[in-house]
Amino acid sequence: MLKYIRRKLIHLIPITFAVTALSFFFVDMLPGDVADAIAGVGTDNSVIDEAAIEEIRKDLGLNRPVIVRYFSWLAGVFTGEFGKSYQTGQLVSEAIAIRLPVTLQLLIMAQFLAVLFAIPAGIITAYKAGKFTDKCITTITFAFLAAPSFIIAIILAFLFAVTLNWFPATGYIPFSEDPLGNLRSFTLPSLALALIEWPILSRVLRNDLIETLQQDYILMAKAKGLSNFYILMRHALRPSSFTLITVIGIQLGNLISGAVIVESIFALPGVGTLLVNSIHSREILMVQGIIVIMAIAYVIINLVVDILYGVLDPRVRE
Amino acid sequence: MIKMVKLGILGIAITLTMSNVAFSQKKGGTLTIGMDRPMTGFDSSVNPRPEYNRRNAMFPIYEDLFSEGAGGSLVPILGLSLTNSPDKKNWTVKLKKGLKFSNGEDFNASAYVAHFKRYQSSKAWGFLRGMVGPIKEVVAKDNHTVEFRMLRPFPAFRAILSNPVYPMWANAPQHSAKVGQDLNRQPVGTGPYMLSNWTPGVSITYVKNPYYRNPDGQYLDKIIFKVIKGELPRLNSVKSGAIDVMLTRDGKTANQAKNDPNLQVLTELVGGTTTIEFNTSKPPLNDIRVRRALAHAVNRRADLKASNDGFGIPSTDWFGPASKWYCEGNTGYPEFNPGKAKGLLRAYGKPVKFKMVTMPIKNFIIGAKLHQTFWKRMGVQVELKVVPPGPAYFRAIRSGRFDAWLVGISEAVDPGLQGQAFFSKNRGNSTKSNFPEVDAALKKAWGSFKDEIKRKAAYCDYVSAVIKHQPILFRAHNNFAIIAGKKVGGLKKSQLTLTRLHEVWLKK
Repeated sequence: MLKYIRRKLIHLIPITFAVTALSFFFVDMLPGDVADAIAGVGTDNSVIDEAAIEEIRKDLGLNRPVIVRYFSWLAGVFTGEFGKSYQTGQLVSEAIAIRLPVTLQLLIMAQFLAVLFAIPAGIITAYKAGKFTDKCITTITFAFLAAPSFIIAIILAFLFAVTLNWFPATGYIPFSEDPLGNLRSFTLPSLALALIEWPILSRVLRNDLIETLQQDYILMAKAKGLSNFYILMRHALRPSSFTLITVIGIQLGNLISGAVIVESIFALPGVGTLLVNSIHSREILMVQGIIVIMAIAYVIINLVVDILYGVLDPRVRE
Repeated sequence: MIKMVKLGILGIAITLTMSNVAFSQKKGGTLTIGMDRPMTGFDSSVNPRPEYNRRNAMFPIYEDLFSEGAGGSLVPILGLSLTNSPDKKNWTVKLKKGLKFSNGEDFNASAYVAHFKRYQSSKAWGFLRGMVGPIKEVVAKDNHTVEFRMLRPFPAFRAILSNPVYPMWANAPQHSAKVGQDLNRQPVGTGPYMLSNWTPGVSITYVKNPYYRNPDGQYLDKIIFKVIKGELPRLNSVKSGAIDVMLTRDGKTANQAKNDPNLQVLTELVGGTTTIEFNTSKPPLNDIRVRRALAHAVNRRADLKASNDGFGIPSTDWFGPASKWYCEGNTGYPEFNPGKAKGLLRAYGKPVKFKMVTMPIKNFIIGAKLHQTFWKRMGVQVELKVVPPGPAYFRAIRSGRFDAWLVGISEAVDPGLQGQAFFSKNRGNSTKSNFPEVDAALKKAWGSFKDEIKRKAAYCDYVSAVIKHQPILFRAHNNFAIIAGKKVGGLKKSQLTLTRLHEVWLKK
């Protein structure tokens, strides 16, 4: 198992290298750069003073070829130096460190809620496959599948924040300051993400469970007189969870993109909003820092999924 | 005797009213304001952007030298008096004595000297000069007298000194020298509040300035500016009490808020205007008949209704009706007349087809599509491209690839700073205007600095000349709104989209 983990971690190096190189070159290709912003380009009636902009580029080292800048940045990363924002002067590592816990908490809570909704729904629809209950739940899942996260987020905010005033419409309270307030501030955003996530998980589990329930050993268990609940939970659920776990891993990556929108709507200071703002203001070092973190997180999530396979099915370890 | 009694009663009534006002002003509490864009920094030599979120977030910690009172009189704030040389090249300000910055440093003339030295040596000076004028140097005549020396006669400087023009906001000089580049994150002004904490992209927190000269005016304990992107999330936040105030230019949001009895909405009809500019140097837009036809073809009321929920008025000038420089609509702006438009296009005699660029923001993209539709009815084909806002957009305009573009023009404090880009020799002449009549009108306006009435007339003639040659289509003066919950007291209208939120209080 250790060998397997080591191999996976070694994979992380070329993946991170490729992802950061691609993103660095793509961001560099965007028209306009931070030197423009510093010189005031992009404001009403602004005059483009090319000489001044060129000097700013020189000061910031932006006049060097993109390949040189990329390797210079990469060298910095190996020494733990991610650089700092051109505009605000904030360290990239500091900006990410402040925001990462927010996004992590959002993703974990969203995934937890999604699994909480998906497993019972998946079990019920598989057990009642083709019947009225299955059709009802299936209709609901398709409705949520079709709804974009921002619509769900806006509806949730309107219902539970503006109308009922149960949860705050926006804002973030750190857990250390007020644990209950923190959970309240995360309830609607994580629910908005969970509501688009659970239908996929539920459908995947349903399909796998239906297949499992047709296996001979399930028939044997029924013949032994075991209760349906016991068979579903003890004999059917575990072998039907492989695809579910894989999808959870993949969906976590997708959730990050959903988080960008949800973080904006609920004004959560997470990594998603930082990434969007940094792309808009051409803060290439900030963008790179976030992408490195995301790439590492993505690989680690997949690693955890692989390890979980081993836990669920010892044959994988062999 | 009766007169004396009457006067006595009146005096008591006034005293009671005043004391009621005083009692209604509560001290304490935290005011939370939702801002639409993240703060990029406080040092305008590093971050020169005049974007309204940034200016409003800077306002609690800085002060102007003067403000403009009734009839254009000067009301002292940090300055005591203002004199100028007869040729309006040198402007001398006597500063108030005994004032301090929020770090305890004395406020004096050297603050302005250091402040402008910093600006003039910065890469952003080319941009900032457009807002503060052609300053050659700033000299401390004595500890509390500062002289601004201009490169040329510059009558607009009085307006710059008496309006909230953010590049004039000075930092504590010793502190500035000490922190260097970090001034962007560690500003120190003389205003009623001072920066306590700034988490970029998240929030900015201000606390009371202990050295402020009028502690009775510091009602709030704290002011927090929180970044909440999007109109709807911010409006929901005010409605639910998550924040106290939001600022917006969005008509739909302001109109929605007006219908909510639990909210206060204060609107300012801001000058400046949304516009469409033309590259007048190449066909088909180098022909005045085409440009006039395009102007006649547009129903601007429909544009305003569609693009900003009717929040504002169609513009005929870059100054709005609230400005003393407003030309009262007498600039000869072409009326909506499709028949005339068709006639002019017939006279031109060739098919009209061009490329227009816009940004993907609501007001601009709806406006662009609506213009495209109006022009299509006249047989004009417009290819529309969308480019992200910010530097990329302005680079696209300057690239020469487009014949027309949507752009907003902010209102300046004086016509000497407004609309100069239609002068053929101006470096910012992106419309490639080259109209001797426009140039002559502007030169005449520059020369008419002795008499304000004549000066206004000359500038209005300049606006009329620009409109006659139509390198630009005016769309609308858009409103600006402050939306607040009912517990916010003492809310005042904004001035040039700047709000004195640090002067409000929270009702208990």
